Amino acid sequence: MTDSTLERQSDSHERWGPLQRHQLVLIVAASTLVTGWLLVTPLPSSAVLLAVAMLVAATPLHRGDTLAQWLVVFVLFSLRSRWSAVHVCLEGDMLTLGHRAQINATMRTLHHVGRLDLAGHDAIVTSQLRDLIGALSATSTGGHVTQLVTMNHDGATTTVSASKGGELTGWEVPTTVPLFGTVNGQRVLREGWRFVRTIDAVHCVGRITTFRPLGDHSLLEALQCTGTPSTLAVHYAIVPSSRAARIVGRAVHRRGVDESATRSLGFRRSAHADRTLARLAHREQAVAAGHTLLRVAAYVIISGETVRDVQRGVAHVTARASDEGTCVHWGAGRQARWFLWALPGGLTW
Amino acid sequence: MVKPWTHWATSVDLWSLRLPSHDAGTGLEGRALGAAQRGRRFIFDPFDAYGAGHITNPNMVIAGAIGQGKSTLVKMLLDRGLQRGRRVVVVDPKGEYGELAMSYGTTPVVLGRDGWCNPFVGTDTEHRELVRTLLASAQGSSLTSEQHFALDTAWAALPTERGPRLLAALLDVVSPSLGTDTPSATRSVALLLRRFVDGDYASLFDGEGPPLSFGGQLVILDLSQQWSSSSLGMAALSAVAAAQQVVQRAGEQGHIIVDEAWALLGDPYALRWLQGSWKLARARGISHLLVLHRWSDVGAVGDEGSANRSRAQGLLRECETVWLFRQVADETDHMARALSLTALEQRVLAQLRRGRVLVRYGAARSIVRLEPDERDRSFIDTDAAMRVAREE
Repeated sequence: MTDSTLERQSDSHERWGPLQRHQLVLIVAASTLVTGWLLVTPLPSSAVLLAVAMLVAATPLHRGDTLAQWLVVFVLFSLRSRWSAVHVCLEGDMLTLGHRAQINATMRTLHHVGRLDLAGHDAIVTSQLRDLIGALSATSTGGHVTQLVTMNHDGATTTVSASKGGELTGWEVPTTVPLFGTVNGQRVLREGWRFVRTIDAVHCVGRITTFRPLGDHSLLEALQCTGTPSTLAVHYAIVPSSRAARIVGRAVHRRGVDESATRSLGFRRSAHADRTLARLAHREQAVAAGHTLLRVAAYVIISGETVRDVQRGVAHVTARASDEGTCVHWGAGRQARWFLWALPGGLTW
Repeated sequence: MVKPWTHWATSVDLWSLRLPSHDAGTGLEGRALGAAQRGRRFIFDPFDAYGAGHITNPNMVIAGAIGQGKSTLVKMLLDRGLQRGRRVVVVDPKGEYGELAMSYGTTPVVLGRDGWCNPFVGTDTEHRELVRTLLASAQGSSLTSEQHFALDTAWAALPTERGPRLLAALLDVVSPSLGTDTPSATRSVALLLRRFVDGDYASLFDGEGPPLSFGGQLVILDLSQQWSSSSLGMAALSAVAAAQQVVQRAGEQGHIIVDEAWALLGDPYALRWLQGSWKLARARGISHLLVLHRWSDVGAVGDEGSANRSRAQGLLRECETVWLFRQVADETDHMARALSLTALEQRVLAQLRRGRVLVRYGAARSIVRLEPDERDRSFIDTDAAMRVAREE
């Protein structure tokens, strides 16, 4: 991954140094309260308790999620409806998914035998995908491409959905919608704390937050070889080329300013910050060279007939991913939202 | 609070995020041979694969060092063929298929001891072509124009009603020339024919009594009597010719397995004849399976760039299904060059463990761990079965 423009750890959270934005807000607010309590006598002692509570809330717990985040998740989970409905319609290669909003995407299925990588055909598939993404980036709105690999006991199916159709030689019109099967119409989801249930299966959705460089191997290789019935969904939200240079330039500038501010406060620049800056510079160069800027997400959805099956699968996949240095975050209390995010086309993104 | 996406990237990173790297399998139905690495059950049958459009001819090659699982795979493949009601003929130079024969209630036919083969069952043109191949092979060089003329003249003089002993009948026609000391093309043809009727190749293509009749679904031609003798190549050619007749006569699909195929590939005339029949495999419904221990044996059939070597390599390259077991390092290099293996395939091949095979079928590739089932274990060499089982 030396030449990669992909950061190893998720960069979707805004951070200032080691802190997430909400942590910083909580710490500053707590400090202000304590300072006020010390300097302004009329402030009640409860202000100190509130400050302590804020500091505790800013403390990271499991996988870097803070107590504040968990509280929000728990409250939202308690308040929201357990039931969601998704409208699914597949006509030819045109997929329509509806949930509050509606997306239309062109779907194609890749039929192949054996392994593509041994014959070097994975390069052809990647090249086709790159062309498709490149074509979408030339439009004013960009687009969304999802690649899904559904693995079950009968074999595996690879599907690509794109917000606008493109040329994919050798791909065929699909007969099923990944994660929903063949049925057109309304599909109901029931959300549990650690799973989401559809009419024919129980699913647990995980987000891949950290990739590990593996030389020439695919970063997602380990997750495809677990033997557990699952779906791997990789989403590419394509930034229009007209905006890409500005976005990446702004990120480089902001990071530079943050680093200057950090140094001016007497902090030394970390190796991690150096790598991030190098990666950003690399990304800027790639965009300047005509490559497409993307926001990427990879989800793994473990499916089974019972919650126990799914839990077993989750344990197996977690262990396997961990062996390979890949971190999968199983979003407890957020399963329905993540399931919708993982669907082809980027519904509710 | 949490965004749907996790990372910024560019299209440069599509390569590191590439999918799929799983094995999608063959999509065929039947008894599995084992499990595909990064996939599920691996099922393969050359005729079904041809029907599904995965390959354009049913011929196969199996190559690998001793003890890696070649025999296990051959027996598993042919048992699956037999269960589908196909005729199977095994050309067995080392007498290794006795147990399999027993499990099918048959006994191997030892060529030379139990009788002789009559490969002359097809059309007149095919017979003539095979006789030319046999004579050239016995002579060690191509027939001259005079020899061709002599043979054609003898052929024209053959009685219309001729029995199965074609070579003996031909010898009868040209034998008067043996009584003279004057060298002539007819005499040289007669001398060559004599080798098949009374000489060192007797009892292969000609002999006393009726020729062997190959009944049953499974025929094993045991050439162990010719093993390590100079007549092994000729015996193999005889057996393959006979095997083709057996399978063709059945009018159904069938398999011809040639173990120690180097014996056949080493003979340029046998090779040329084999090349012709190779091309007809599809039309005849025959799947040839060549078993090689060392890929460099192919290189030994001629010098670099020679016609023989090119022909042998071409023959193997025309096999759209190639099963590659682990080889020693220098053999892997030979294979890589001959089959244009990708860098990844070469790496995989060097790391294959016992009982695992890299299979190329048409444009597809798989790595398969052989998993003999209960039925397979009854006729696979116990030690081989143990070795494969131990790997699991």
